Amino acid sequence: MLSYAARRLAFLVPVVFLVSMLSFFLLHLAPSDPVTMKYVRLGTTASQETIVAEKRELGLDRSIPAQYGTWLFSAVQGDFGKSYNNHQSVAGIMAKRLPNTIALALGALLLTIFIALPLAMAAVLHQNTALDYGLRLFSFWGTSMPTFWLGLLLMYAFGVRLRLLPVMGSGDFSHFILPCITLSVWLIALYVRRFRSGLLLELSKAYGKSLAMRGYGRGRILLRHILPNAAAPILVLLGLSIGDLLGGTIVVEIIFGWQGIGSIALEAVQNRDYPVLQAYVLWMALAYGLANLAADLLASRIDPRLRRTERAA
Amino acid sequence: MSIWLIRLWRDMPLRTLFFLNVLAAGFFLLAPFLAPNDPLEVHADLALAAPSTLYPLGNDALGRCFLSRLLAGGSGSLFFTFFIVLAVAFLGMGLGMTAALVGGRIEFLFMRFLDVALSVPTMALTLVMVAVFGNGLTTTALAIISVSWLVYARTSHAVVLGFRESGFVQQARMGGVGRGRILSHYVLPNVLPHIIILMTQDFGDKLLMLSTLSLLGLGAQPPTPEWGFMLSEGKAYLERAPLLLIAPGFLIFFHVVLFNLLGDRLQDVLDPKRGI
Repeated sequence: MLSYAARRLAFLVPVVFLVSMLSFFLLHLAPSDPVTMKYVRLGTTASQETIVAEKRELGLDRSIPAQYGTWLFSAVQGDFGKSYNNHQSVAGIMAKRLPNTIALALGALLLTIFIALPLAMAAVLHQNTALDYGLRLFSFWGTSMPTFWLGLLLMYAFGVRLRLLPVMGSGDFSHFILPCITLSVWLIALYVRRFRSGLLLELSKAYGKSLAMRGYGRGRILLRHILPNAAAPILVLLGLSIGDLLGGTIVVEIIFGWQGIGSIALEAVQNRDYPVLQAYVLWMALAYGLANLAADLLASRIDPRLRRTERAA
Repeated sequence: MSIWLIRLWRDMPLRTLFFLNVLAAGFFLLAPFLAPNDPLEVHADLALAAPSTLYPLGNDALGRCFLSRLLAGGSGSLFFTFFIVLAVAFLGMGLGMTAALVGGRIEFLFMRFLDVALSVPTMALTLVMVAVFGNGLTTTALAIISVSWLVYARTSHAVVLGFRESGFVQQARMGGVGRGRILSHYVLPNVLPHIIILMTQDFGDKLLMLSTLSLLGLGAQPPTPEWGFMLSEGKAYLERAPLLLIAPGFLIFFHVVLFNLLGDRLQDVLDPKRGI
């Protein structure tokens, strides 16, 4: 188990390295460069000499492989360069903003597990009743609902009409509620459906039926026998959904003015702020990889059958 | 191939949903021509004005006719949604199938490339591509295409692997059938159903992606009316004119629902358990 985790972790290193190379070369091969874009944005023109000088200052005049070499050399030492935009250290910006985004994503994930799972179990216990149909409808609604629209509507309802919660900004817990709910509704809707079908699949197997025949209650069968078997594959799926969850934070952060990493990334795209964007992509790849690893390991804790394939791998 | 197309056609709900989708998308693709006023015409004196006979849904913050902007705001995104899905299906399927048939080192390198690219969450990779291509609806669509074909390629590759070594492909090869013809006549018909399921489930996702990027200011640029961007414009007037926020969002939601209903139904009909 431990050596498997270590091997998976070691595998993450080349992946992150290749991701950094891919995004670095894509960005630096782009037809528009940060210096020209800056003057376009400011609405002023600069002489050719100024542009060339500024490019040299940023090191953009050298060949792309040489630039990548320099970047990689400092990146492995924890120095991700300075933002082109405000000349702050990228590592500093990330360190300041990351906790906010992680809190948001983690909150949404916990909310998903603690809401979707009981709802799915209720749907299975009361299969083909009004409750089940209602939950299926909710599930369809939630997966079709644009996150940004939901966020704006919640903001309108709770912030403007009822005046219960603050509309914008990040600070105390009350600022956290609306963004967290907005981010998780889509995931809850998706996982009510997935938990439900996962539980039903296990329930249809012979051991579920035989337990029922021996007179065990449906609730007890579901909790003690079905759930552990159904949990592992869904956990792995949940790990894969974390990528969408992390991507979804951008919209939520923009709408609610949450000071996280997504709003920084958006700014970086608009300013062609390569060092920040590069760090953002690396963080996303790393977080996604680690989340998947955690989900896989947890799944094999729950389901011993998965450990056999690990040993073979 | 024609057999399962007929099966799809025989399914009444699927047919109805298909026509509803064509109707709704067709309407909003042509709706810019129905706009009663010029959606770009600014009337500073009519900012956030209430509905009137001349402007049936009132005016937005710049006094532009809100109904005209709503009608004009869908055609761009809807057109690009269809374009994106068709393009990524074609591109991804072509490359995925080719890689699986060519095999060897090319296949290995191609699949490792997919692994690396897919290890970055879609949204982050799309943002990088937007930074590469630049802001605007067309460039954003290009950015989405450049990221989304990866999934199609991986799926097509996996499907072909399932039957690559099976009898009929080998036999065709031994019988002297050319590579191109094996691809188009033997492999493609078996991959296409999987890709069509993926495509119908993707329309809603891609429309959401485009609207999201427009809302973030990366897609359609002002003053072009676009539902996603209209939402971010309307956000500032949440209190005084909630309709500016409710209407464009609802239209996006409406199309996503229609797309998703079609996708779900199609999957039910094509479900392998029912035997295709």
